Amino acid sequence: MKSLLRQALAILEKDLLIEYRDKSRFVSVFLFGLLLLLLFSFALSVQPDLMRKMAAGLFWLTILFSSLLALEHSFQREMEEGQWEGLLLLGTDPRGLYLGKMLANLFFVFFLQLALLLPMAVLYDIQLSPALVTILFLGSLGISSLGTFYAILTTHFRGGQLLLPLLLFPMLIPLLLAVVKVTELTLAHDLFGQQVAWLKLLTLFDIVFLLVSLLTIETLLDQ
Amino acid sequence: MRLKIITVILVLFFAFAQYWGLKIAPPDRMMGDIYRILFVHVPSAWNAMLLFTASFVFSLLYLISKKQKWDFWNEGVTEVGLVLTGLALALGSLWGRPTWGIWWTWDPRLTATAVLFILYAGVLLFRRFLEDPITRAKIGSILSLFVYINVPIVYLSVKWWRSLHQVQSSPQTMAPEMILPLRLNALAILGIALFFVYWRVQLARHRAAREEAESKPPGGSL
Repeated sequence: MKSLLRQALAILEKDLLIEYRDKSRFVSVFLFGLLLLLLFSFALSVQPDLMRKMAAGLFWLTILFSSLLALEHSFQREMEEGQWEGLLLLGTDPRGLYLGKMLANLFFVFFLQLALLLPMAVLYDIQLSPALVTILFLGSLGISSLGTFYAILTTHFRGGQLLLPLLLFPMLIPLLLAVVKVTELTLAHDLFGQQVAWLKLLTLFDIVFLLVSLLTIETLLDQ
Repeated sequence: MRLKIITVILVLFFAFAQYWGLKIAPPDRMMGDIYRILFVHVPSAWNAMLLFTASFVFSLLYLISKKQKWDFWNEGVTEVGLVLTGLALALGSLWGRPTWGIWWTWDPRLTATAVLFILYAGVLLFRRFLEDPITRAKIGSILSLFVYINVPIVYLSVKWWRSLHQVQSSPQTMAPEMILPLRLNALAILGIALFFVYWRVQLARHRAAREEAESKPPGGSL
C-alpha cells in the first residue's frame, strides 16, 4: 500500500515537472478552452440573461472538450519514447501507474478550470463563490479518473486513439448531468436545497469510477 | 435437423404470440390499436436489458477464468442486445409520432437508452480494432463491465425523473387481457434472441479456430 502511493507520487512528480518545464501544453489547451467559450457566445448570440442561464452547461462542455485534448496528449510522450514499456518493465504496480497519471490529469484539469473560470465570469457575467470551486474539483475528479482509464485503454492499443471521445463521452454523461445541475443551482442561489442530492450523485460517480478503474487496471495492463 | 425443428418452433411461437397481440387482445381505451406496438417494443427493451446483464456476467466469468468461450458468449449477447435496443428505440419512435406528436424527445428514458446504444456500439467498435484474440477478450470484458453501470440508470430513469415516458407497468396496472400476450411475446422474442446468440457464438468459435490455424506456420512444425 505504501509503495503503491510512493510510486503514484513519483509518477505525479515526473508529470508535473515536465508540465512545469514545458508550459506549451497548458497554454495551448487553455487557449483552446477560451476559444470555445468565445465560439459558444458567437454561435448562440442570445440575450445576456439567457446566456447566464446556459453558462453552466457551456462551461462544462468547454471543460470536457479541452480535457479530452489534454488526456490524449498526456500519454503521447510515454508512447513515443517507449517509456510506457519501461515503466511497466521496472515492475511498477499498474495501480500506482494509474493513480499517478490520474492525479497528474486531475491537477491539469482542475487548474485548467480555475484558469478558465475568470474569463468565464467576465464573458457570461456570473458570480464566483467558494462552493463553485468544490464543484469544479469533484467534476475534475470524475473526468480525470474515468478519462485516464480510457486514455490508457485507447492509446495503449494501436488504432484505438480515434475512439477515445466515442467511448469516453457517453460514459461521462451522468457525471456531466450532475455537475451541470449543481453548477446551475449554485449560480442561481439554490433556494430549495436541491444541491445536496446532485452533489451526492456526483460524489457517488467519482467513487464508482475510481474504484472500478482501480480494480480493472491490473487486468488491463497485464500482458 | 434438430436446429431446423427448433427454428420452426420459434418462428411459429412468435407468429402465434403476435397474432394474439394483434388480433385477440382488446384495443386500448385511449390509444385504440396503436398501442399494439407495445407487444414488440416492450419485450425488445426487456430482453435487451436481460442480454446486457448476461454480458456483465460473461465479462466477469471471462476475467475470472480467462476461458475464451465466455468471451464468445459475451460478444454474442452484446450484439443481439444492441439490435434489440435499436429495435426498441425505433419502434418507440414510430409509436411516439401518433401519440406524443413527435418522433423524438429528450426524455430521460429515451436519452438514457440512446446513450446505452452508443456505449455498446462503441464497445463492439473497439473490439474490431483489436486483432489479438486474448487482448480483444480482455478489453471487451473490461469495457462491458464499465458500460453496464448505465443499464440500471436506464431502468430507473422513469422513476427518478418522471416525465413523458410512462413508468413501468405492473400486472396490477394493466388490463388482464393484455398481460398474457405481452408475456408470450416477451418469451417469443427471448427465444429468437437466444437463437441468434447461439449462432453468433458458433461464428465466434469458427473465427477463433481459423485465427489459430492462421497463426501457425505453414507446413507444420519447423
